[in-house]
Amino acid sequence: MKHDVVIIGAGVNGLTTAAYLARAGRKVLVLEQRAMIGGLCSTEEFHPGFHANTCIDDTGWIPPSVMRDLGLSAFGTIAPVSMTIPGSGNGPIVITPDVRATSESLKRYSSSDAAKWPEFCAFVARLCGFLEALYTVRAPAVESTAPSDLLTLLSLGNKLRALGKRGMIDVIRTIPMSIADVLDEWFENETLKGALSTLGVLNVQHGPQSGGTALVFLHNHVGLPLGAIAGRRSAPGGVGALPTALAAVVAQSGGEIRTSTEVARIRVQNDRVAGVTLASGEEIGVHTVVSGADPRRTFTTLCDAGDFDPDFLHAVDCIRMRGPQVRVHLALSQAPTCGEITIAPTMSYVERTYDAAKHGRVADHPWIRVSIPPADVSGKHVVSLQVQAAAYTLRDGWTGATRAAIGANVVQMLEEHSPGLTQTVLHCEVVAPPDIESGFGATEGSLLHGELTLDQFTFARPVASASRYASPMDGLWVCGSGTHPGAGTAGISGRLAAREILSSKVRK
Amino acid sequence: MLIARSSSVSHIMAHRSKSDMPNHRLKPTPFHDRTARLMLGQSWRRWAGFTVASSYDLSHEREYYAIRNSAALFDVSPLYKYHVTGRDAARLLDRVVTRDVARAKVGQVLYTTWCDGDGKVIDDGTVSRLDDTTYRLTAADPNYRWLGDNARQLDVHIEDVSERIAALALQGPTSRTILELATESSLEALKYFRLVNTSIRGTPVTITRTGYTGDLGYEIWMDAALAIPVWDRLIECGTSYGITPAGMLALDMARVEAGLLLIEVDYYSSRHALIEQQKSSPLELSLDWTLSLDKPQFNGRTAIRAEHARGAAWKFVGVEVDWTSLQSLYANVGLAPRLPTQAWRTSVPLYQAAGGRQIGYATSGTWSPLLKRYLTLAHVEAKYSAPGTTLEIEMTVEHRRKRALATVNALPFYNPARKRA
Repeated sequence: MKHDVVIIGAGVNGLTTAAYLARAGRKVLVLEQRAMIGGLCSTEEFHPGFHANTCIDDTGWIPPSVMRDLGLSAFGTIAPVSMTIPGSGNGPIVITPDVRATSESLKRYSSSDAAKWPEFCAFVARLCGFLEALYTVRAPAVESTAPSDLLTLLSLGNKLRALGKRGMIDVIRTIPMSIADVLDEWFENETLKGALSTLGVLNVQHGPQSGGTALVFLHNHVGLPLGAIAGRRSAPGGVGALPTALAAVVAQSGGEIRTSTEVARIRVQNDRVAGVTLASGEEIGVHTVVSGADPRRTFTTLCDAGDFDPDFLHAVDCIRMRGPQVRVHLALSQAPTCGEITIAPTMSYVERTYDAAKHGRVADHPWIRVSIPPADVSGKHVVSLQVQAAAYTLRDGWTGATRAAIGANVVQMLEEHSPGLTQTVLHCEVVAPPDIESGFGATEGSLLHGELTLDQFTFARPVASASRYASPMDGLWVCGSGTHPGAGTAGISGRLAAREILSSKVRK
Repeated sequence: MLIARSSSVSHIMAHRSKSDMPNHRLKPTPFHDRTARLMLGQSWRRWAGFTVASSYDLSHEREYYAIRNSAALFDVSPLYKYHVTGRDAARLLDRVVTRDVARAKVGQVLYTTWCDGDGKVIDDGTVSRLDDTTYRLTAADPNYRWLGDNARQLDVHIEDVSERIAALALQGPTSRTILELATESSLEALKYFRLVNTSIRGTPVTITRTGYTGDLGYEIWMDAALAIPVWDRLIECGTSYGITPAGMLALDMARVEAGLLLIEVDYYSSRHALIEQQKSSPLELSLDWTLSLDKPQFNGRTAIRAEHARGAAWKFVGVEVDWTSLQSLYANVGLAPRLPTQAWRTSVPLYQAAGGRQIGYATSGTWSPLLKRYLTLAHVEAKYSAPGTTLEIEMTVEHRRKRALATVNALPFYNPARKRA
């Protein structure tokens, strides 16, 4: 056999796995169905001369171990972004990594909120510190009594204990809460809470009042410095720069990457992987296949159903994918005046966008986060919007008119904050969940490869019987965002998957 | 107490309208109109939501002897039945069951088990190939959902025909003669585990040469709405050949003699097991012969092949209680041996010989009036499964637990040539 391992998908985790395996001497072949590498971390031209991060603006936290191992120190300097919240009367609230400056900005609306801000930042950092520890080890095996598993649990337990009594209670109590309840405990200003609550429902079809959205909020802050509540932006060069750097590592280590190469079927023989069949009909024989595709697509579309026990496939069916996010990219003739604002005036407003989604409607008033890609990414004047307005499944289906209406609506909403913007729009590109599914293979347009909620977390991600990257099928592994720790972290899944693969008895 | 409670329940029920409670009552089978008239002892029992006879007479003895000496007629309509049709029907069944369905010929019937992904038995039953793309699966438990779960990516239609299809079992040495009279055709050519389509008094029937008694016998499958004339015709043709409607008590004794296991008695479905130890693999049930290990796919394949390679830890065997030993246990307390009058379904410990440790347990047992032997079906550790191995079995003699000698037997205990001839 020409290759030891085939990796499906040249996304960040697929490439990370490929890089580690290639460095360990495995003959690696990465197959990417799209014409370019990067998967969901792609920066593409959406209008002649205008570029944007098609799906996401941030590759997520790259842990120091991955940066060190793969020589990615250029990506070590993350760029925290600010969040501008249009206020009512007293000017905008601006959340920046500068805790004191943010506090000052809050003072105009609530001295109590301003006073609590530093403490809140510390609280988030403390809880995220625990998640950071949880995310860099393989998922705990709840039932296992193997010494290595017990050590993992022990080290996590120690990490928890190190937080002290108060910290332990904070972790255990906060994670299952709704972000609305958490924010209500801390703050009084509705405008602040509305904008912050979007970070608890980002990319999940939930409202701020849904249980477990506190975890989503915390998850979105893992790896960020104290005070960087508004998130970060991949730098430099847009999200596409990381996969490009990873691909270089793969190539240097002798790995091969083929783009425009779609895998149609993972072939099994004698209870183990025997190879992959490409959409072109070409067959590649290989004993190890690592899928960076989402778990639903990997197990129910790329495999023959008869190769798995129906109970396993049922568990895979039960993974909530539900991509709620619509991306809107505007090509503009001149820079907008609104800055990187977040339009989510209250938590009820955000909750109502979820109400629309859960009933299969497009929200009349979606919550919107504006990001303005730097010139090195966009080339020209571009505004990229995260618009959480709808659901993958709409009662009346997704049509061109649905997309156009969302585009027109958000332009009109932006017009209020950036007067005259409408006249400068050269092109409005709407990327709806079904477009993310068809264009990137992400089931139901889930940018997370499965909602990152408490029931789809650590040892339950993607499903309990595959939480350590090995699937029930000998030779088939998963490494994508749908695995632990998954979306929002860059390369950890890939690194941990590679480690499991290298320590297993792989048949060459 | 029991009587008082049930009468108060019926008192409450009398005040409800009938439409309130259709699902709370056991259903009559398609033959109920006939079986109810024969029911002398009011000894009905529940089977899959239906009422069936435990025995029609006050004692099941006559019914038992009919199985071995003439012909017993059982109403087995409560069996779960599924029709699987379509281009991928064989593929679906091959994913589910352990036998090789694709290789079955039209008109062939396969006894088989089916397993979960860990290779533990969910249920056992038969697959009949009715035509090129139509199969009938019979099962002890509901399996509609499980079949559906396995039908992913396949072009197949699954229909639950449990209530639409009625079934009778005619078992015993005169069964062929009676059926030949009833169908006005020869059944000479109908081989063991094969089927034929014919009709009885105008009702189209499928006759399979199958059964649960280990004797010469047939099962007759028909439209439930047209079932009664078939019963009547069989009784008519069978009376001079000793046809005897029989209930589950007689059947239970016969199936122990035949070494046929019973779900929820001799093994637990992996769907119902509360703990791992309650589950059994086909190998542990000594059903090795039902495994087509070379089939490319079937649920549990990997686990079963691995278990096959290392050897099953348990085996399912016949264990006969030693008469002399049993007699002496009773003699020690001044009694003649007492024997069960019905088959029992409890777990009875089995030990190494000479007072050793427990190495297994019997799950069914009966005194065989025909063989004059005390027979049990048992799970034993594999190294104690060789026929001829001497064991001890727990026997309660005058309220005290004793151990009688017992010997491992090959199954079936009773295997007349006419079964397959």
